[in-house]
Amino acid sequence: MTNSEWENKRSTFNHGWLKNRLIACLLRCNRVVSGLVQDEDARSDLLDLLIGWEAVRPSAVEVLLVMESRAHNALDPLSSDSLTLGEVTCRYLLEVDRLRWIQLTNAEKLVNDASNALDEFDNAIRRTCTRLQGSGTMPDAELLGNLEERARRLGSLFSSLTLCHDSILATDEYV
Amino acid sequence: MTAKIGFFDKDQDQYGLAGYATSCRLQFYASVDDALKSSVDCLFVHVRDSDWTKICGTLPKERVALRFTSSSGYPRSPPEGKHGNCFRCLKPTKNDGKLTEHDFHALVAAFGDIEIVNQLSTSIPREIRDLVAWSTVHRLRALHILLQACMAELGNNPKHGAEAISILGCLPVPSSSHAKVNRVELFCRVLADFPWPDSKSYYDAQEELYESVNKALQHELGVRVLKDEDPIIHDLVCGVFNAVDPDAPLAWETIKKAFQRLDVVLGMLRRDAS
Repeated sequence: MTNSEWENKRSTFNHGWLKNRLIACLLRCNRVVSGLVQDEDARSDLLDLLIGWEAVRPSAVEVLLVMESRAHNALDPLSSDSLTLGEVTCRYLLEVDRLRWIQLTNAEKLVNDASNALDEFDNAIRRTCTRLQGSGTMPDAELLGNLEERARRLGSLFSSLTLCHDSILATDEYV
Repeated sequence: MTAKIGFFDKDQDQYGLAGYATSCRLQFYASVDDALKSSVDCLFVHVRDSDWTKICGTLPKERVALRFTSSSGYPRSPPEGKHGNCFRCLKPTKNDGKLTEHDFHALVAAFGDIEIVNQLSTSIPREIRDLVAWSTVHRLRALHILLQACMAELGNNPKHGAEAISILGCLPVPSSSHAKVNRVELFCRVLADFPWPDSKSYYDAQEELYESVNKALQHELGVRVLKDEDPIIHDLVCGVFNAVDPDAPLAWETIKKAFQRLDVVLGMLRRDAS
């Protein structure tokens, strides 16, 4: 997976699904539970999102697996870079970048923390989903608050994930 | 974590920045100085050039600023400011192609997220790439990767090793004598994407490469005259294209200063700090 593909996957999960959809829906549900608004769709929208989690989860896991792999394995240079700069040189340039990235960003700890947060979030989703499916009412504020807290923690950790460079001369359209 | 956003609009224009910001209930400031003195994490500003220079020169690294214009939007350019934390909005607040409410809400959502704010110098979220972005800086990134490897090699040098490691900010990296990273021929390939000129047309080709690299770097750095506005990077370019021997190394001071400069330009220090 290229850095650009990884970044798209990370952003689609973290900003697209987790923050813009799930947390936004949890805030709606919280307002309903608090009696601030009436929103008849909030409960069913939340249930749809929680049921849909199984389809979203693999991309979150893949983001972490790619980062973990980067932290443990040297990269093969792109053939275009090797042709211009020489393969030995490219390997060394990428390896220095990778080793500096691991140390400056504390990449291994970040992946570990995010992986634990993902497990805790997964558990919270299952608890809330079971509760929603077993009753026709909105879960209580504590259960919703717990899920929101874990979602925010996961979102915060996913926002801090980065990768070392996977190319030297190749270009992205925009930073 | 949520980041607080405040705004200052020199025209206090309800059809300009002030109008957008008020509808999103952002914190209002009556002057640039008040905005700078405040504790909000992000400033949305519509200001004169002199006030923008002041913001770029004084905004601490944990805060960011986004400048708006009412006329025609800003071109893509690298982050500005001492800490690479000052940005410009690509769309204007008025006229053709102006910001939509949806655009402004996307900016508020992104700049209101402290995790995103901390990474803006190195990564612009997809949701706002048509609103805040800069042209790819691929030559600078490639140059930074090469300089980083030169610094790692120099980490094993008895004279400069300790300083090189300290600047890298991490433990020494094993050196690779096979790679021979510090040679002007390799810098030429990274900067110009072109091999070292052969001896027949040497001086003309060097001049042509120098001009082309100079122009490309001016564009990536967002400066008009590289020599005047970024003398450190200009010195490096001169060091490469004034050399005669393709295997000649660049001087320690040239490598060190350029590496430190690009760490700032490319936001490495911010990433480290966060």
